[in-house]
Amino acid sequence: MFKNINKSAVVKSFFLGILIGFIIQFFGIGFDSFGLLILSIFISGIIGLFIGFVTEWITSFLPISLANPRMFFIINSIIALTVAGSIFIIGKPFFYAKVGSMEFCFMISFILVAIAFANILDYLNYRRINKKLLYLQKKH
Amino acid sequence: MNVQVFCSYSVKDKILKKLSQSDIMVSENAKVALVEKGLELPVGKVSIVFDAIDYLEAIELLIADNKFEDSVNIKKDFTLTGFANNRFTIIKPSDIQYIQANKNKVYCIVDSNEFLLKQPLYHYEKILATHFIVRINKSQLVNLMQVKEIIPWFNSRLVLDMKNGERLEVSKKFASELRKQLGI
Repeated sequence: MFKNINKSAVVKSFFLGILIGFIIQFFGIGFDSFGLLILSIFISGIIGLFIGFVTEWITSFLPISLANPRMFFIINSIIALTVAGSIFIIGKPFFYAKVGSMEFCFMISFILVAIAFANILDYLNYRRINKKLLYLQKKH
Repeated sequence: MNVQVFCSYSVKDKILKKLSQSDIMVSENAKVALVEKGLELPVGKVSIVFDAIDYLEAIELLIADNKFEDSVNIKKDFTLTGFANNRFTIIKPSDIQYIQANKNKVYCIVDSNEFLLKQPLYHYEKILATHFIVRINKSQLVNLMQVKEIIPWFNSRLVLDMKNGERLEVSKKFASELRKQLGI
């Protein structure tokens, strides 16, 4: 059941969660103690790990008959929007009380921009690999 | 093959005699140099350093390398023999779409025709490497020249869209090797 899951991607999600948790601190959440700050960053990492694991698990069921570049980027975007939407819905009561709606919207925007950036990188990688293939075929 | 010799007079005649018996010519413009230990290495040449006592071993190394070069040139005209419909067919590596192992048999797919091959998959992986036929998972080798598009997919996998319309999956283990093959 978990055979196709890419474990290194799940671990990277943990560290990405840590990074996002660290950056979000600059949006003025203002924890009273250093210990709470570290705990919140660690919890972000755990959330990232959970999201990464669920994403890898669900996508492992996708058959290759569906595979085409457009489908890959659409599914990637759906996953990203679902994650951002879930964070918005779950986090809204807590963050509105702490930082206000403006800062919360900035946080969500930051997450969306990070995800869009990752998608763009994926797309550039896809273009690069196919250019290399074409070059190899033309050379020989 | 051309080689330049740097050695003492005691072994020079023996070395030149041995080289003249093989296809190796002695030339000052050669890119490879046979240099006796203790002598200065020439600049801008690949040097094979040998002990005077072991000069025969050094020459045998050169002869073996020369024979390997000839065999690589012969491999450019290399063909396979596949069996289908009660007859044998000569198959050029460039015509192969992919080779796959299934239930202890190895098949070669050429233009939607399937030919049974004799040797195990790892044998073809070794001999067809110079023809851009690479392993993509535990049971398939694919000809990169017959790939139309490489599609990124989830869980670090890749999907190859072949020119004959088929789709092949590159497992995550071989996806990184494929990227190395393409120079990424």
